[in-house]
Amino acid sequence: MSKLKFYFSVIAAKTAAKLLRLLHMNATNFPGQVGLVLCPNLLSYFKMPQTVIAVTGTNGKTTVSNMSADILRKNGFPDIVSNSYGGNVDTGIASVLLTNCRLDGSFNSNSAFFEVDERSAPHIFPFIKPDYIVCTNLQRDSMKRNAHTDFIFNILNSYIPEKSTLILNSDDLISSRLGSDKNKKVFFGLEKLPDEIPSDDSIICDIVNCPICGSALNFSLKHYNHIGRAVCPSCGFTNPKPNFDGVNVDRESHALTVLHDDSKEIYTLPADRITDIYNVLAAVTLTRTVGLSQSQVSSALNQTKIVKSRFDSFKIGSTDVIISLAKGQNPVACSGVCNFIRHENGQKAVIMILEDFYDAKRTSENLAWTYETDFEFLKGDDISQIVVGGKRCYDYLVRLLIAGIDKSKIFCCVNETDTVSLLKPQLFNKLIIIYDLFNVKSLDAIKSQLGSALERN
Amino acid sequence: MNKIIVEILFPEVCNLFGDIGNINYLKKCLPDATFISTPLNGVPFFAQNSVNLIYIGAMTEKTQSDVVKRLSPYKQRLAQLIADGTPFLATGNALEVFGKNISDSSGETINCLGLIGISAKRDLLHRFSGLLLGEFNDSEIVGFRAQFSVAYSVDSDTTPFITVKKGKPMNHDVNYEGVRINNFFGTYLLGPFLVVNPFFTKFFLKLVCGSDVPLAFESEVIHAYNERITDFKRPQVKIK
Ligand SMILES: [Zn+2]
Repeated sequence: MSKLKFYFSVIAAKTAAKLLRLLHMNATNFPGQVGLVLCPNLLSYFKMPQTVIAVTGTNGKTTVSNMSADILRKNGFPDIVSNSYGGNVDTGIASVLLTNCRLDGSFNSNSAFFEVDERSAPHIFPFIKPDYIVCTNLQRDSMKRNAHTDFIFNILNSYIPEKSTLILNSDDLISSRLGSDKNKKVFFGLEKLPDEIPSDDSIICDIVNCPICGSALNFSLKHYNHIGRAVCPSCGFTNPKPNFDGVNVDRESHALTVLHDDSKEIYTLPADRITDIYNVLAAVTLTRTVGLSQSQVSSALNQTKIVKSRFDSFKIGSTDVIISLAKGQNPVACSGVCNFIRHENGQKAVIMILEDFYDAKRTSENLAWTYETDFEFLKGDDISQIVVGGKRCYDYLVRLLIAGIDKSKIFCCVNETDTVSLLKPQLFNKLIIIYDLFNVKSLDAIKSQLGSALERN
Repeated sequence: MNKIIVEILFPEVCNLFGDIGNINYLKKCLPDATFISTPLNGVPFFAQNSVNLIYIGAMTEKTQSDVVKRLSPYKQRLAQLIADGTPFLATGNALEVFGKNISDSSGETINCLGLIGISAKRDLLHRFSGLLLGEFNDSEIVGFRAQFSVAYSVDSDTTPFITVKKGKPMNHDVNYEGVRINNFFGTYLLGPFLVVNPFFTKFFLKLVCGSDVPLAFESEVIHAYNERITDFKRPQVKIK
């Protein structure tokens, strides 16, 4: 009976997907929603490809998924089934499987690759047991969605299959503890880089006490937030030793040196912020562990470009313009962008459009997260102006004042697109625009005004 | 005037949702005060000394148990401070630590300090987030919430803190949020509660300092507060 339901849901989902395509509608989760309604334990009926890989974690999972799938596609996994253009919850994954499978639930491809939302583990891992699971990190995220790292760790850890090889971040003392003794584990990590300015002044540190004995941990290095190296003075608890250890970055040649089994491997870095380096380390560790050689991975990475929507830079007149995504409501990701801004050279101005587009429409945004975001990083004399656009700009004004930023530098406007008119181009030679993912429309309107506003400069 | 002493309990672990914003704001309002941060492994300053304010913010469920354990030896002292009228502010689930117990949906019951007459029911499978508009002392109160638990008043001597006008109250049988005993204020509203409620903060600082204290960035904070209230009152704004 259940098997019949499965066949029926495959046909229904494929029909729904075709119909949507005919209507030119993009509903990535819809076929999966249909399938799961018709057959709730649908995911257990697929005859999964030989190699199944999942990538999860708070930050970086989309980049690591896309980068890793790209490396694999170029090296013997040409027709990998993946959700790179779909949702990362159970309905999104069901959609990808339903639209790609044969009627009996089997696949043409020899491999499948999924980005998995960390909260969806209970709906996915009991049915689909990946051969490899990457966890990029577990950090504080949107309080509405993710509560806190303890909560997410427990959800994820309860559902990790014993057969999965885990690719874990040794510098994250939270996620590096995922899995049981039965799981094979491969760790990636990053040493203190010669030119790195460690960031130990963040508001958030999601692990301060030893998870074994409760004593306060001694951190010897913090790359950012709690990501770094620490040891417990009472019981000796510390980071696992990385199997793939980033030891050097040459920013001129965009090269990352990784120490693995006592030999040095060089990989191209598409971008060199600390989080970009971790993303490459995760992708390298995964693809090397799956069985690719160093030269296969490095030649594939050579051709990888960072997605422009997340980071862009150009020049208008004599002003450098940098546009960076800064996920709103995600204090760790947003603090990372503030840290990046403080270390950029030049006399800077910042435009911030971080409000949640949907919250602004349906409700009133909970801005508690701005009090755990390191806006204090923006109080340097090398920042002349901060222009905040959005309905909640007066809350940002208060937050920036509490951060110690002088009121004369802060400018507010309710319409995001008015921010450009508040710029004083004579005060800066570098403009950094940070925006939330859903404010792309406002960002485009802002970009279109920059020419006339900055060219005179 | 004696030097004002503010003790922040366990800020390294009790700052889950931007609660530390309260302290950073108090530091701007009370530039001459002494702020003492007591870590979870440390001895509370209030144990041997008098303080003008004790603050504690939201924490994980595991940390709640650790905090109960750390504060248990000082139960009598805390009861005395509350009875003497020392101002306390507990935001988010810190309130539950001072209550009688927390019963978890797993069947476990965590005994808490028993200093205030509430009992909490926690269910990690059901979490709710929302906003709240309420009233205290003729001023409107706004706030954010995100919680796994609901609290019930089990003693007749606990007085309500905030009368709810829009949003979910502390539990479905009452129309208030949070509790007050003397100058102990506990509320599930989390994050920068003092920053977003300037009129409560003025009232509270008078309790702490014994006289009126000007707020830091007063006009900006009140402007943001008025904007938020206008927003919360829009009929299309869904406050769960
Ligand atoms: Zn220890």
